Amino acid sequence: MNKAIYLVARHEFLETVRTKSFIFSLALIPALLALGLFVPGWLASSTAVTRNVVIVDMTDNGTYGDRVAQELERAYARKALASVTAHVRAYALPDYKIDQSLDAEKLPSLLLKRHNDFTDRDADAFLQNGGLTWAMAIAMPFLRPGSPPPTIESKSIRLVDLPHNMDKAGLADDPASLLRPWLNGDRKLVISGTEERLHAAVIIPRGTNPAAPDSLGALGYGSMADSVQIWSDGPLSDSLSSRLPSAIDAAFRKDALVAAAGNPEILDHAGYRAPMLELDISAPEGREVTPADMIARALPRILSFMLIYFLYINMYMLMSNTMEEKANRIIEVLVNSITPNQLMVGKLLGSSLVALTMFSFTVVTFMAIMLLAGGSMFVEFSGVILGLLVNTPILPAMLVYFVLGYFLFAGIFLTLGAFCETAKDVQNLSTPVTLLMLVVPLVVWAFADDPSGSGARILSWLPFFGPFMMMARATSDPQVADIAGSIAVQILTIGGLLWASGKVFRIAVLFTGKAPKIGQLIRLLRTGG
Amino acid sequence: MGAVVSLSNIHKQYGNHVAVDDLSMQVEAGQVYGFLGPNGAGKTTSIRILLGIIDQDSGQREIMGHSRAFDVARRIGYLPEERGLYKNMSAERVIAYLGRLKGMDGKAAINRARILLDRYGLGDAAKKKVKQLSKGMAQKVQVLSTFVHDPDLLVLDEPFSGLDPVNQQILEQLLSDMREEGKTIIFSTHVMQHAERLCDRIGLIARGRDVFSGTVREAKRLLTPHIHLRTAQDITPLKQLSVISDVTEVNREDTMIEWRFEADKSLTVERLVELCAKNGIGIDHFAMIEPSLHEVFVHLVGQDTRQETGAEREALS
Ligand SMILES: Nc1ncnc2c1ncn2[C@@H]1O[C@H](COP(=O)(O)OP(=O)(O)O)[C@@H](O)[C@H]1O
Ligand SMILES: [Mg+2]
Repeated sequence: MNKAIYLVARHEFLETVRTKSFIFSLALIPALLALGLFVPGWLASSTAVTRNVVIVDMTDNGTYGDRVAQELERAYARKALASVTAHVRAYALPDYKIDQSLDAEKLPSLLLKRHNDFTDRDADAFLQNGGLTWAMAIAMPFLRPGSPPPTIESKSIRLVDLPHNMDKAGLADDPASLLRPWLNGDRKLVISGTEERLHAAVIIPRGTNPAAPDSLGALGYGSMADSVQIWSDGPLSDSLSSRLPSAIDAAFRKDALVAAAGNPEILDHAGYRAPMLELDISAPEGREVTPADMIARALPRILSFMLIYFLYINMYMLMSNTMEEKANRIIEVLVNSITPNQLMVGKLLGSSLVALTMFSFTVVTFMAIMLLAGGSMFVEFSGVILGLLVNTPILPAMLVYFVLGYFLFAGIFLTLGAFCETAKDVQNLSTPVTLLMLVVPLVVWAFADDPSGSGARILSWLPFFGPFMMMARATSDPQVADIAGSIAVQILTIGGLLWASGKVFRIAVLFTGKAPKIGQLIRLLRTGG
Repeated sequence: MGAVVSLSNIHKQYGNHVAVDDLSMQVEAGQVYGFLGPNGAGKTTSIRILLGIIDQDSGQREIMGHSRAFDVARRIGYLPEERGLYKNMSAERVIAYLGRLKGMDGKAAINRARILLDRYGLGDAAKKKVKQLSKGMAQKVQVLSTFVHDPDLLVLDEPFSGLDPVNQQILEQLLSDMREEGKTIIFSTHVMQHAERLCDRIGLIARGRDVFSGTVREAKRLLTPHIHLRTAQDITPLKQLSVISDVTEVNREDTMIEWRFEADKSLTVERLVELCAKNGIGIDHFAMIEPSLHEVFVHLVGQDTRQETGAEREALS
């Protein structure tokens, strides 16, 4: 009995895994992943060479230029510091951790910070004391020995001097024609012996002042004479537009603040914050919301998406595998050796194993690539996932729903496959299933915001919707009745589908030679063959 | 020893069309049983009922003491009329897989598959995919797969169709080997010669009904043998005897004429020779030729099936 199922599953698995197309697609995975993960970044980093920017300050006291430069430096420092602390979160010694989070008692506050937490003082300290070497010296005692070095992006903006022969006064009158040959690349800067292009020019005209919130200047409607001009050839590139305007803005805002207060200390006060804890009622004494919770919250959507994707790529395999014995006319031999239901269960398990192989291979390859690329963000993320797996029932529960969801749809594929005689049949029948696969998660996600509402509860009990709904509800303590009911309904449906596919398959034996019409089969199915 | 297989009063209908009508048959252990009849006679339907692939409308079936063939599936090897194998598997793997489904151990199955392929001239094809084999080779592979698990009972539906004469010969040899090993074999065919050479017992069916069952010898005894007589003399005296009928001229060379006629069973060879001598008829050549199974069959089921079987016969010879 079980031996037959095992044999069919084994056959199904081995025969698929041995095909050239399977091996080919498996081999393609690392290549595609690497392509998807690295090529955009690599392209960006190789094409987005350091951007050369000139800042021309024409104001009377002439300090804005330097302050913009300083803000650019600080922005870079914050980014570097954030990379260092992400690295600490990923590779901290266990002694300095409590439940996946850093132990605030034992670490200097600098290392607890994330990107937006770093102050100007932090940034300045970083810049004055030797940058990365200084920051890593602080972090080192808390890191596991042998952890890889952090990856720090290099500076993307280089400030350059005005070309020496350019007429600074003329820039005020006709900046466009003076800058054009430089910005469009006709003329090149010479920086330490090599020719470089000028990417942007920031001109701060004489009359520029910090603009009050409702003034036209603040809204982007100021005149050329009293607004900072950012010149470039075409729209600003991404790396410039994400850094340059914000640095300029920061310089002016801080200037206004200090001027109003008459005291630079005011800047420290501008960094004051409300002390806040986000707490979760589901733990007995209430507990702080951790990154793990955030991930747990995002997980249902990620898993639902993965499930659909995964089903989609396996749909054809599942449907055509059942077709094979019919097309090959080998059913008659098989039906004499094993029951149709054994055959169907075996096929389901075997095909699922193929899918699982593909899936695990993808995940492992993905992780290996990420690990090799040394992403400390990734190490931190996988630590959190691992914590979820070990410490809470959430991830295991979701995996159960994932598997149920997989078998449900796979059961449909098998049943439909049993109706099919040719690849064309498979194609025709796959269209409605594909639609179902799209509609189910959409409906479920419409109800996901109210995970305890009656809509969500009803959907939990429905076949096909259940697994997705229960995934969405997994983090919000669903009723035990719903869990049990949903799982029971799904298992019964899977059983029913397998029974039906076996039955269809069995009936197909009667129609030797000529392909039965689907209507005929359905009629036979109803009357019981 | 009791019957390995028995069908009694089986009736099966598709809609209004009666495929099998009150059919009974018995096969004893160790017998080679030929299930004969023209196309559409109901052979395949009966075999499927016997193996429990479809169910009869009424009547009883028993196979190795069970009413469901499934219970003894491991002791049965079955070659369906419609051939088919996993096209992307190699010959040896497909045989081994089907053997394992019948309860064989993995290693034993693959070893036996290789031995069988070697023994029946398919050693070179063992590693080839089924889809790369010719139709005849694939069919041989499938035949081998039916007894890879060393079953006690072989049920083969039209095993000879689709094979060229050489391979038909090989298959006959193979079935004889199986008989030597003491297996019970049931095979269906609409070509009588195979049955004539191989079968211990035959069952003739037409339009779903059994018209004869017994040994080949018994079947042939239903018709009187033909006598061929070559002589230069006038045979009118013989023609006038009431025990001799159906006299036709078969061949004429110079003065020699070869006659064929049917003689009553009461007429022994000695008596015939005596009659010839008495009437001055010299015997140049004398032969008593048994009726072929085909002739018996035509005799039993009438003219309308003659064309069908006859045509098939010519096509194959
Ligand atoms: N599935 C079926 N549906 C309807 N009629 C069938 C079916 N199978 C067989 N028949 C009919 O039953 C009769 C017997 O067929 P079959 O058993 O295949 O004959 P044989 O094997 O002797 O050639 C034929 O007239 C055939 O058309
Ligand atoms: Mg037939």
